[in-house]
Amino acid sequence: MSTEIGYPLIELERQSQPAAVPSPAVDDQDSLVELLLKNRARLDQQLGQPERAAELAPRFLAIALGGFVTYGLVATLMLGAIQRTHGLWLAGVPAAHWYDRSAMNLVLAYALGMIGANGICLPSFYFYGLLAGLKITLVDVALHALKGMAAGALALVGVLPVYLAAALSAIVFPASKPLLTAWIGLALALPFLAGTWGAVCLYEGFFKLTVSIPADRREARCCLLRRFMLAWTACYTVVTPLVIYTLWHRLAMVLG
Amino acid sequence: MQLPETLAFYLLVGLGVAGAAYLTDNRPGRLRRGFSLVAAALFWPLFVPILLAARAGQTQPAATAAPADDPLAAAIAQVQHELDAALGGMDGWAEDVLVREKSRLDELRAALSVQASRIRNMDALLAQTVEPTADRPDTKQEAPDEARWLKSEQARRDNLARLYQVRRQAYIDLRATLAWIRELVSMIHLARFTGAPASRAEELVAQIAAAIEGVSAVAADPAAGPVLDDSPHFASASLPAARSLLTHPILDKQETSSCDSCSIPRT
Repeated sequence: MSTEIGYPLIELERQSQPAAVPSPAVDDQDSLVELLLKNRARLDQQLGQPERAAELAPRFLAIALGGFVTYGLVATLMLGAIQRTHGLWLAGVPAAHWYDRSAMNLVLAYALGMIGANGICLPSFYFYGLLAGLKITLVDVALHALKGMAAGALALVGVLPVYLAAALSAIVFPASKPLLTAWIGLALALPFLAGTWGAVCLYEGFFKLTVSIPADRREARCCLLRRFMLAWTACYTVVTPLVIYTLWHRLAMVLG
Repeated sequence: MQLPETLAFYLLVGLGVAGAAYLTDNRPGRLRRGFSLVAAALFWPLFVPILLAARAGQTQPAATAAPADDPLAAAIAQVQHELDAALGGMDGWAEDVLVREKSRLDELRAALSVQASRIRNMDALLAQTVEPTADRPDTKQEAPDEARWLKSEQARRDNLARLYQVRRQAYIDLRATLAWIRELVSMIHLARFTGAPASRAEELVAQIAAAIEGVSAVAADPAAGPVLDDSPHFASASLPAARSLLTHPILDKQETSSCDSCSIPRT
């Protein structure tokens, strides 16, 4: 091909269409639960694909909700069983009796409260990341927060049978009031203890984003990021019980 | 405002977000879409950023879209396809490096497209340039004007010749970069199936990511790129120089600054 002024343009050779090249690994078949437990590096890689955000977010949310609802049901049964056998219900704890209308109070309060508190703390998480110098978007932050929550919910479901077995011994065998109080307290605090695993996963995933910080500033920025994440975790740990208690209390007033 | 009013407003916003989430959700399966609908209504603060990001992502490709039959775009697409296949095969072997180099690999993809767009623009410009005949002065009556006209015309031709050389060099550089990436991709496959250690894969991916240095320097700042075949910049901007980028420009850089407030060791 030549132009009117005589400068020939180079013709590109037609490339053959990539028909036989295998496509990248398809992750749809892989369970997010398995990735959360076994291969978080690969999961973090998937979190970096913005086009997958709309698909991953509901799946993380489903895992988290499933875990919290399972925990809520078990905790309601345990608290009810302790009350039935020993007549003990802690003062200040709103109603959550499996035999009346308040049966779903604890389930709803924990499921909605844990996720709601995450949503409340999300903007601060985003600003902390920006302040630490990370090149992140609100979507990245939302996905990492959801991943951390899902990981925490999985850990919660994982420790639940252990707690159940131990707490049942307090129901079957005679137990002192302080011990029963401790079991009830542990039941209510279990999501926060299991949540530390979620915080660790969140920390791991978020820390991998520090590669976007220039190398000469990375060390100081990482140190700052650690402190910001600690601050955010503390903020979340304070906000979550407040949200849960408020919800639980309101639900108890409405449902009984 | 009491809790019921707050909840009413919260759910009102949630319903709007749920509607938007439902309309933008193209995934099959009623159950999935139903769950997304309910989850978006209840937990809309988590869904709003994703919805907004999806909208922004949809508007981006239109700005840099290439013609459907553009061979340069097809060549870049093929290389990207091969690269994705190679990187996708690294799961369980050296996936950490993908997370680390993700931003630079994305930049590389963008830089290749920008460079192709630049070449297309120069092609279009050269194709539109025509021989001037109508404005040529009458040689018998306007001899001085004729001399000036010829001088300007010669300068114009020289400039166009230089533009053609720039286009030609940009094209050669881009093709060489694409070939270099394909070579590295084949090396990744080879390393994977010959049981090479993960560090070898990391080194290769780092080299691919380092190709961005050669492409983006020209694409982002044309003045920094090769101008003429005899330009001293010419050799430095061409691809063989990229072969010297065997080290990772970021990870291999020694951090000299220490944390200003604690003694936590270097990460």
